[in-house]
Amino acid sequence: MVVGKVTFTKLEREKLAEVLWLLNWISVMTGATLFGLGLFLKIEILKWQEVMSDQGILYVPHMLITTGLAACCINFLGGKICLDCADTNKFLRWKLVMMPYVICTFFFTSCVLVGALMCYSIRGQLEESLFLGLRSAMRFYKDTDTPGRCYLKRTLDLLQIQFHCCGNAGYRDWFHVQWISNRYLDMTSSAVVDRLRSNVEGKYLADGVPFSCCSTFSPRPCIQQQVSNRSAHFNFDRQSQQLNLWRRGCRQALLEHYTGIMQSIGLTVLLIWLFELLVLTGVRYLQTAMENVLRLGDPDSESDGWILENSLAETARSNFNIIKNLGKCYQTDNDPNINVPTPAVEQEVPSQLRPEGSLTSGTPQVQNL
Amino acid sequence: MALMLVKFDLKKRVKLAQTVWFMYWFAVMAGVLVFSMGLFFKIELRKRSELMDNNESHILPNLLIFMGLIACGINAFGGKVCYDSLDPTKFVKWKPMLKTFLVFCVVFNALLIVTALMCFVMKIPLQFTLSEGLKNGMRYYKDTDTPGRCYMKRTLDLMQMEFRCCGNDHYRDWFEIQWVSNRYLDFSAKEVKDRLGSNVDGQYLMDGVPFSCCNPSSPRPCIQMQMTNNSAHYSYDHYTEELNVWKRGCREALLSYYGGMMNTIGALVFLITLLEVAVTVGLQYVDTSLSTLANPEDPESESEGWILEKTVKETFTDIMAKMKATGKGGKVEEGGEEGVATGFPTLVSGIFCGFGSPPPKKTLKSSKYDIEEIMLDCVQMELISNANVFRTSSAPLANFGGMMHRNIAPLTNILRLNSLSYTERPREGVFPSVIMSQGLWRTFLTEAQCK
Repeated sequence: MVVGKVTFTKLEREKLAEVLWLLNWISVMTGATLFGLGLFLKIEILKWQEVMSDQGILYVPHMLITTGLAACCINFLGGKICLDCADTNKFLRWKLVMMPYVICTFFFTSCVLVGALMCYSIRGQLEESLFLGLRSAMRFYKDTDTPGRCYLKRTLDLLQIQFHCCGNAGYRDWFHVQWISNRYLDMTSSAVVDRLRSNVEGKYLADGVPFSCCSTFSPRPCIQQQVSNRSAHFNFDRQSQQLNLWRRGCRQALLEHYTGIMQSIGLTVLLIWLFELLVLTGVRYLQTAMENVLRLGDPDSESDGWILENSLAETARSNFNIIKNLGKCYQTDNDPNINVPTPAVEQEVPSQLRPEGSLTSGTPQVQNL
Repeated sequence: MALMLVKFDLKKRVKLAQTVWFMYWFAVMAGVLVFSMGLFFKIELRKRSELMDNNESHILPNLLIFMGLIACGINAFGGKVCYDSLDPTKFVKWKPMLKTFLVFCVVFNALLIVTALMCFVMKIPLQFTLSEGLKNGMRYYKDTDTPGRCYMKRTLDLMQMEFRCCGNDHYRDWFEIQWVSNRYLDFSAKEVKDRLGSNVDGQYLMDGVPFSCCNPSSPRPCIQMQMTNNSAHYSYDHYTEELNVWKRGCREALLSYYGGMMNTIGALVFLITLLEVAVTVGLQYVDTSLSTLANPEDPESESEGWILEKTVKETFTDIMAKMKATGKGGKVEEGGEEGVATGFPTLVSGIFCGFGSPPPKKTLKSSKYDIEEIMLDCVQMELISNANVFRTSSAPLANFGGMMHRNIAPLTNILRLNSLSYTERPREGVFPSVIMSQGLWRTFLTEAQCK
């Protein structure tokens, strides 16, 4: 039972080849677009990679980049092949390459689909990575003298200024970390010593936030120290408190930023995948039609094209058997119909044959299968 | 002796026309570029007009926008003319206006140079506007409840963060003004009263800066308050502290930003001027090469092209003489014998430029004007033969002798070959015989008769 059978006249075959040539060239450009999108995403992620704990999210842009490059190469070759397919004589050149080419195209099209799906599914991993990354970044905010962490303060400040956010989930996260380095604390002062003693770990905790948390929309000069104590500042009402600092958490801000980018990229990649599927179907039809023409022997006749020669189940079964038999290439077979001569039979044969002029060579040879 | 004379055959003419047409397309895109640069500059000025006291002069971006639009129009028209110049029938309709168009192009190029120079010069008024505007901006920083000024705080904060600057000239400018509003000051507190009393104007001055002055690259958390008091902070010396707040003043920062922008725009406009001059020269060559065909009926004949018909000095003196003459030509001349009502050149041009003007019957004295210096506006000879109308116009002549050598030889050929005659008075002998004798100007005028 043939799947998707369509009959093609000679004219239709030539038209199909031309159309596919054009579509392949458009595919090259979409492949370049894919490459560009992957590159863009990679740069965006690398900008803020210091606040991400693991780099697992980089799989997505890498996948897009490799698929884009593969698309360019495969479709470039495909364009060449399809152009030659219009003519039966030129097709003979490509006959052996066609099947592997179709299989390659099928695999890379499914890679494109996987890339698109990854864009949507990576969100959970990203959130986790951002949570852990921001937490350690805030912890190392004060370590501007430690190599490897000296730029975390700057990165975090610029992040909070640019994305209008403060802390991990909110500005209160800053109350739980010591973000002022010991180098700038007067250890002889009683106020400082009291604070250090007031918690278990001996950290200098205060209800203050860095300057980068200050909101530019606030009508009053920024209040950074004693933020939660309304009576410490004159006329510090609820509304002033609301507008004083950024209210959003940086994890939320970065998550929204990256999810937005990846959703648009994912949608574009899905559209590209549909287009590639169309091209793949066209190429498959062209391949089967040309092969059938060669089989029929008459270049001008009509021929059939299909997607699969047998039904899906049978094709799957036969492919599975092929793969199974590939492994059995070098094993001996226990089939009773194959002649495996035993040593006794062997002795007889030379004595019978020798008087007649020996068809075999002098020494008996054991035959192995 | 023409300036930069070049000989052309058909192939060269075609190549010239195609090159100039191609260059005109680049010039159109250059015009679009000038327009967009003007627009961009205008938007940038508008964005920060609050800091310039709403007083900044928009003359430069408006001029750039205007010049960009004109450039697009001129270059599109020039491209069309060049495209049509390859086809003689189409070119005929453009021919009359080409002279004026070229003059207009030259004027436009001069304006472009002026615009480019202005880009470099306008930095000076901008400097004054900025310093005035920033001073006021800082004064109104605290007035977030006053309508019209409530966004000044946000604008200043964003500007200081974006341009990495603090205050007008340096951060100490913030010490001299009150940037904390009275609404947030507790007037019953002793400290506040002390500060208010400590200065003449009764302002709450402190040695602190807003948070937007803070430098994120500083290794320690930002010190905004009591900046000059070393003992208020541990391990702090405000003389040696470099990274705490931005050191640069905002006037300097904004000036270098706008100055850089204006320098780039000025350089680009100058380059575009060069391109425009090149296309104008190209069009002049196209025009002259198509006007000086040796054999006007044969498109494959040779021709010459030039930038100016005479040397620069001679052209300049001729222009001056012409201006003088048109100035004097407005006077009515008395004297019957002369009978020149509208002036010598005009009369001559009337004779040559169309046969509708009344024929002179009198001998004209040429005492006032030297023959060699006569400037003729145009010489058009209409030769009517049977069914064809043939018109030939030569380039502006400054020397009648020159006209002889260049134009009359082919004209003579035409007259001889085609046996053309004037409609009513066959005068076929007149032109060639008179013309051959140089200087017989008067004789020519007495004998030349118009219909």
